[in-house]
Amino acid sequence: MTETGIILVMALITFAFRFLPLLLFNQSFTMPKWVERWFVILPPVILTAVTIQAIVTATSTETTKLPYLAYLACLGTAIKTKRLFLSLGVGLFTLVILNVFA
Amino acid sequence: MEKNSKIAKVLPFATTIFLLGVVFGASSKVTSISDKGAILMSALVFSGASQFAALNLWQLGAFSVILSTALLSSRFILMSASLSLEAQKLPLHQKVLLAFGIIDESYGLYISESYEGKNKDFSSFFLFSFVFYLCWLSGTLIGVLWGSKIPLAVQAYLEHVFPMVFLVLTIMTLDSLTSITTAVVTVILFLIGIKFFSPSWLVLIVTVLSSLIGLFLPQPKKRGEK
Repeated sequence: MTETGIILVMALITFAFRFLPLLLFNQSFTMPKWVERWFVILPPVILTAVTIQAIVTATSTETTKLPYLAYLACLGTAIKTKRLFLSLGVGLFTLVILNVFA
Repeated sequence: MEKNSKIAKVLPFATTIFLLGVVFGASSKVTSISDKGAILMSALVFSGASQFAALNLWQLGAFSVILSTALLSSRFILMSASLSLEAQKLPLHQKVLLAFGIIDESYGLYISESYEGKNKDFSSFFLFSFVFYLCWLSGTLIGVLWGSKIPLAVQAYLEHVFPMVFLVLTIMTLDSLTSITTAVVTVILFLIGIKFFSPSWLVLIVTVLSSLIGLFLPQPKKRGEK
């Protein structure tokens, strides 16, 4: 398969996975109540799973456990303030300080 | 005020997506993918995880690349399904645009705004995904042309920005006993499962399991409900 061919198949797969659920669950399709409820439950679960995967991936090459402290600082600020920039700033600042002084 | 708050939310993601695009473009130089191929991939696939995996697997051949793309993109099925109720009334061309723009970042931002009761339609989503697409594509282009000049120290901090932003967005969506319980169950299942499965599979498995467990918990609020 050529380079362009592989890229086109990749594009087709990612688009199909994004598009088909939108197409299948249309107005003429009456969704069972439990499925509707499931779709309400799904978003925070997806975000949690993506977050934990991202943390595991980002810390997998680290030689110390120090980055976890930065994530805890970010988490604590987020729970307390629910402010994105502030929490991110606290997390990254903690990471920099830990790297400088560790 | 509303505009400033949107910019404040988009900026960390947009900057990181741009810089990751640069890293992707630069990394493609050390594989057998051509410059045109790297840019075409960013333009048509628009999925960071799948594209970085493709770089690593490119030399193993088409089957490995396509399989990893399917695996890494499988979470889009659930994201798209969870948006399908609200998207039912959209015309087909807007559904196509919506689908193409579904990535972790646009989905995360849109969902967190929905929980704040801010989204009446998908205009925010279209804005987020358009900005992120431009950042990703322009980043790739610059990476292909000049990527070797990014300092390694910047790259090291960059990999922690995404998880931290997602951590905050996740906290913003945890507004009921059901969502908190399912989030805790997700973390526990993930940490147990990581010993047995690859992280990509695990995201799908734990998402399905935890959300099914959530069906037995009290009815959660719909997004944006006070």
